[in-house]
Amino acid sequence: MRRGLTLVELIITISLAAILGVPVGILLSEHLTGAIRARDAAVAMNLARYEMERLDSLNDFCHPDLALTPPGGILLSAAPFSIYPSYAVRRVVTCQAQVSATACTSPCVASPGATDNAIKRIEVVARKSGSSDLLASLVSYRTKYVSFGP
Amino acid sequence: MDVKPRERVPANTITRLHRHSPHGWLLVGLIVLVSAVILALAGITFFLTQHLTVTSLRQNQTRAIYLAQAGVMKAFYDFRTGAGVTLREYQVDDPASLLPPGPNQNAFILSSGEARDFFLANMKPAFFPASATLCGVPRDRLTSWRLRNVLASTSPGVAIDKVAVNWEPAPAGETVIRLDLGGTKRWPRGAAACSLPGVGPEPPPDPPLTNAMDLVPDVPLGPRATLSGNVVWFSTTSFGAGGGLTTKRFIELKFQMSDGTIRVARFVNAIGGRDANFTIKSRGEPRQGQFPFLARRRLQAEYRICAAVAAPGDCNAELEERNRPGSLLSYQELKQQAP
Repeated sequence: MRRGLTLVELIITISLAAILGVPVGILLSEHLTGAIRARDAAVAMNLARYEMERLDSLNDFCHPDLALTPPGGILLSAAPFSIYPSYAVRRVVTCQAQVSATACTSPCVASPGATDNAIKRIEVVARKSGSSDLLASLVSYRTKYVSFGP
Repeated sequence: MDVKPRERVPANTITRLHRHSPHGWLLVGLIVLVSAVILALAGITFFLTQHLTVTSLRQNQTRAIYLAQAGVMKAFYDFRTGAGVTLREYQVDDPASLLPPGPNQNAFILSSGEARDFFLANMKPAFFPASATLCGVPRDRLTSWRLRNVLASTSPGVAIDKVAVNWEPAPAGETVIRLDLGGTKRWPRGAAACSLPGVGPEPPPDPPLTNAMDLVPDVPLGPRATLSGNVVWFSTTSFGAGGGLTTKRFIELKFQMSDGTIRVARFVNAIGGRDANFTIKSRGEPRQGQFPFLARRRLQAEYRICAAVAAPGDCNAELEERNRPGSLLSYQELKQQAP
């Protein structure tokens, strides 16, 4: 005659499964969260790098894209940022230092001997759309009348 | 129903009794299964942690290079405004960027252990005036080149120990017979107006300089100091006339600083190709973030003053050197972190 499972066995087994299942479930949930976060961080950094490299290539302190921005910056919506609507990438340009009150905003003078030197702080910030969590942030400076190349 | 009686086994018979009991196998099986799942999840956890770590480290490395670039721009700005380059740590998150160093601010650090980096030899306004007589014979002179220390501080000290000159082509017999710096004869030493036969050209490689004029004592340049009235006297009149080179492709002045580092400044006929450079080394250090793994990246940038100068004689004064637009010739990432 084959013996069946006892009730005690079943109760102990179910209890153990329940006790062990809770942390395992939490672990799985954290895994998923972590994987999503890593992906978000990587995508956000790549988007921020794209914008920073583009600004670097402008080679013109007085370019419109390097104009001073409002305090919250400018939300970037053109491609490739439009392809990733779940990420909000902003460009923030502020005047870091200037020799006169208007050096940061005055046009670049074509003639030599310009004395309106200035330096801008350029920051590109990426967040999840609708969230205040910072995913990526890049900061650099650009100074006036210094161009790239001989 | 009849129950078959159990057979009696004789006492002298060796048999194996096989007993099968199902008790506890479900529990054992569950424990084994859960252990296997936990082991698998532990492995995945480790992998995910590493993935997050690598992602965060790469982020910080990217941030570091842009911080280093910020340092380069700050140095150029300080030079152009006349403040001079200050070697210290700057914090980027503070708008004034002038707070004392703190452990938690993203920062860039301007530093260098080489005096040559801050020694600017401006060949832009250099030219050959009409030959002049020295030691009884007409000689060519390269004049109007300017020397400058772009540092705002006394460390590292910038002082010229030796000067060598190279030129091409260099037929035998052509030498340098005198060197003036700051309007004063620095070589040869003593009362002699010139040194004959002089020193020949100093072709590469450098170092060491083998045909150099040793300046005794060394010629120091204080913070933001400028030396003008500099002249190289040649033994012949075959070098230049009417302002530029006639028979030579180039002339190079090689300045060895007191710390042994060498700055080479080239003079050619085309003003755009003349050297007028100094070097900035900047290290970026992001210190803020969710995973504050320390990442450092260091950039070396070469800056040329008066990049767009085209007219002879331009860029021959301090204000012009600072205010004329300059250009960033090169960016190079350094593997050495400090100094």
